[in-house]
Amino acid sequence: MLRWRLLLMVMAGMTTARNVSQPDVNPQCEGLPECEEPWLIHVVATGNNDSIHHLWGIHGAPSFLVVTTSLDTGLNVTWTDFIKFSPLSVTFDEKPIHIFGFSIPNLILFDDTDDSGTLDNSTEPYIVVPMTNFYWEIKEVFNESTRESAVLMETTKFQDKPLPMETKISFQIAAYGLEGRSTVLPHLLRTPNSAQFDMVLDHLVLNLNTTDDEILMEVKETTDISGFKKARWAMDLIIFSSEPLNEEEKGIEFSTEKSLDDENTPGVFHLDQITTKLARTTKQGGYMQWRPVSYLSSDRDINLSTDPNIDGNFTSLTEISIALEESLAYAVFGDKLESAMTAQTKVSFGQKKDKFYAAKTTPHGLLALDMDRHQRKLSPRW
Amino acid sequence: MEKSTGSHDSSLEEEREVTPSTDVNGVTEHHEDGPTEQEGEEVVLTGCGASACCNPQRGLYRFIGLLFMCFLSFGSYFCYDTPGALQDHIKEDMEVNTTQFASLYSLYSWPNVVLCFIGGFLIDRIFGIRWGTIIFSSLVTLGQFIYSLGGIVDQFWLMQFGRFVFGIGGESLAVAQNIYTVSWFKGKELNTVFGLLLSMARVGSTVNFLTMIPIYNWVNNFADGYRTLGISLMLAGITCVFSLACAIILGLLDKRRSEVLRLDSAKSGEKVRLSDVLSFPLSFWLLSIICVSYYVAIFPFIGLAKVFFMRKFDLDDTTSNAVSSIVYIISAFASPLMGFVVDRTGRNILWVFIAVIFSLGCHAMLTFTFINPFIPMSILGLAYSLLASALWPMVSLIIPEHQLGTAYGIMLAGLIVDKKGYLVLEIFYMVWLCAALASTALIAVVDSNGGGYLLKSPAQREKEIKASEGEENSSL
Repeated sequence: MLRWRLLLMVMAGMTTARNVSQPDVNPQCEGLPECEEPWLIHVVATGNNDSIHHLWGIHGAPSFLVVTTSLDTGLNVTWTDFIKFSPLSVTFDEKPIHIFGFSIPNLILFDDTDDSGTLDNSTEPYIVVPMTNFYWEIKEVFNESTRESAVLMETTKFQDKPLPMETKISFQIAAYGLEGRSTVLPHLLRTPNSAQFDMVLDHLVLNLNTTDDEILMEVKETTDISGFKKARWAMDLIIFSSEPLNEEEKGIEFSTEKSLDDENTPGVFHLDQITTKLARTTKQGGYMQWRPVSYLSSDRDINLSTDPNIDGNFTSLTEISIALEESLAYAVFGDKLESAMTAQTKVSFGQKKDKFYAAKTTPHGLLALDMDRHQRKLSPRW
Repeated sequence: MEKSTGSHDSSLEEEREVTPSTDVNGVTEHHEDGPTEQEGEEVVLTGCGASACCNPQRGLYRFIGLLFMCFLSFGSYFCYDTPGALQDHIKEDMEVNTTQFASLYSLYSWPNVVLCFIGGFLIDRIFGIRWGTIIFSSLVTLGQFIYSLGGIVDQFWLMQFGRFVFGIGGESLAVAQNIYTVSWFKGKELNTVFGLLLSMARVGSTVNFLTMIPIYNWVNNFADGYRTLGISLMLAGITCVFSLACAIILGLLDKRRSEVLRLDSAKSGEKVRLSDVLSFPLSFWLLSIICVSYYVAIFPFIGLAKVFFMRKFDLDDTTSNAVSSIVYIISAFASPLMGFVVDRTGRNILWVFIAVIFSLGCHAMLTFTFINPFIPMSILGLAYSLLASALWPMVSLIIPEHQLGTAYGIMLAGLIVDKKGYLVLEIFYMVWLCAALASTALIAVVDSNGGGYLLKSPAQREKEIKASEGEENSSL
């Protein structure tokens, strides 16, 4: 099991408590058969001066957005356009103050023959698995208070075929209305302007080197995954923001910081983050933060963990792939996504001598990200 | 592992040469340290037996015996720290957490909290020095074999059992080594030999940290996972077999020496009843607190340090092991030097205080800075050497408190790392060092109220002894 947690947030002035609404699955969707499957989840965190709309889209490239609007601004979804992957089919009553988010268009399975744990341009062979191949369902909705809302989504099918019981990808996304710290490792800090994202690759063994439908989903208890003896997982990651982009300047950047304190995440002294230009200059912008650790067991033992390795050399988005075109990000940005402040990169999971996730083979993993729209002082509150 | 070797205050030499053990049957006996001569005809050696290397009456024979004595515990010291050198591999290959890993140290230490008292008794009453040494060395070898086997068959409980057996033999072997040393070198080069033996102990630990990863990587070419681990530990066990061979040879040399010089078998010396504990002075208990609290911050720390250096300072596993071994490397050279300094200057408590302060500073550097860990670890090596040289001469009994400190220190340390991380662990060590510092200050106060013997220089102590002798003569 590979687990990674990430914080996604945006900055919006003072960090005051917010009331967080219940997750609204497919808001305003009526009379269409597509309303039966999850397309869009909407959570609103209402503050004193503004609202933060958390939009979680699971169709196409899973996309997770934090949208800041003026108070009482509503969300509008033109479902007949949205299900046809039309641009700008998701809008707001007023132009948002700020949008920040990320998409995962593809998973990548690669053969890490030199056991470096990283995927780069020279790595071969590899197989790109578009996220459009997966079908999802909402397993659980959490809304026990007005300060927190969460949703757990899991894959059910791959290429129209059901996945075996123990094979799945799951996302858990939560929006918060209060400052605090997550109760599960890596205990990321959160604010009323943030959402936390957990990704789990659970026993994800897919036989991708066959066209035989019957054995495509076969889960093998071997070290050989799709013909790769040293298989590792990676993913494409696209980050985007509505901030104006000046071509001479760096828009979205990656940085890592070191701390003396590992109390909240035992054994991990680093904190990785992605920031937009506004976040770096005015403390008002988009912000992603995570601990560079991927746990390999459900009890999140540091002794059974590996590294999420991000390629810090970001490039701008130059082409909208099919997966991205079918995503929530495209529905919100439209064709402007290509010219917006974007960054694309790859995140691979592994480190030297980690025995390729598990001593006994089947790799699984988790991704945990925290997304916020307020920049926090990182120390000593890590 | 620690034992009461290293330089000593010369004025305490007579007292210190007595290395008592507790007679568990409650009988107090007093023995002159070392073997006694038997009456009878002098043995005349001829031929090869009269040559320098075979004649116990010649210095070369004692030197050869010293050589085997030095390597008597080499295997034990080498293998003691194999968990520390292979910490990350043990946790990965055996799929255990830090708390479970730490049990590989605590299972060694816990039995030795009491075995130190019994070891001397077993040698004196049951086995004799020669067979006792061979038996304890065999236990060390057997324990290492069982521990390795646990790795090969992927059974962590077997590894733990092996460490327990290893521990039963380990410290008793150190007692036996002490007895041999006193027996062969009493009244001659005893201080120097003790210092040399302590240095050899540190060499064994150092070699472990520097070689186990290369051995593991080499074995990994033809094995995998826990088998690699088990085979690597089995190869480490060769040092125990070598030490066992030294024990057998030393036994033969000692037998010949006893026959030629017509000596009784060496004994452990003055015995102390367990009930005597009730009458120990306050200074003894304060010294025990210092022992416990100081060693909590040393051996458990070194046992867990490798992964700490890898995670916080981004060192690779080979470099991390090298940093861990620095304390021992420095101690190997610094212990005799520090012992010499303490011998010349006295004032043991002051040196203990300074050593604890510096140790506290080193842990603070490791906790609150990202300074290259070579620096604080090097200073810690010097401080540790100074403490051992200054502390042990103040202790006239075999004190197992350092084992107690290691035993529960490592258990708690493992739990703290898993739950709260390395920052909290370092603060844990610093708290104990503060306790050692407070106890040192208190013992200075107690001692000064009683005349201030431990704070005096050798010249002052000698003057005091002469003055008291003069008073005794005049009263007679």
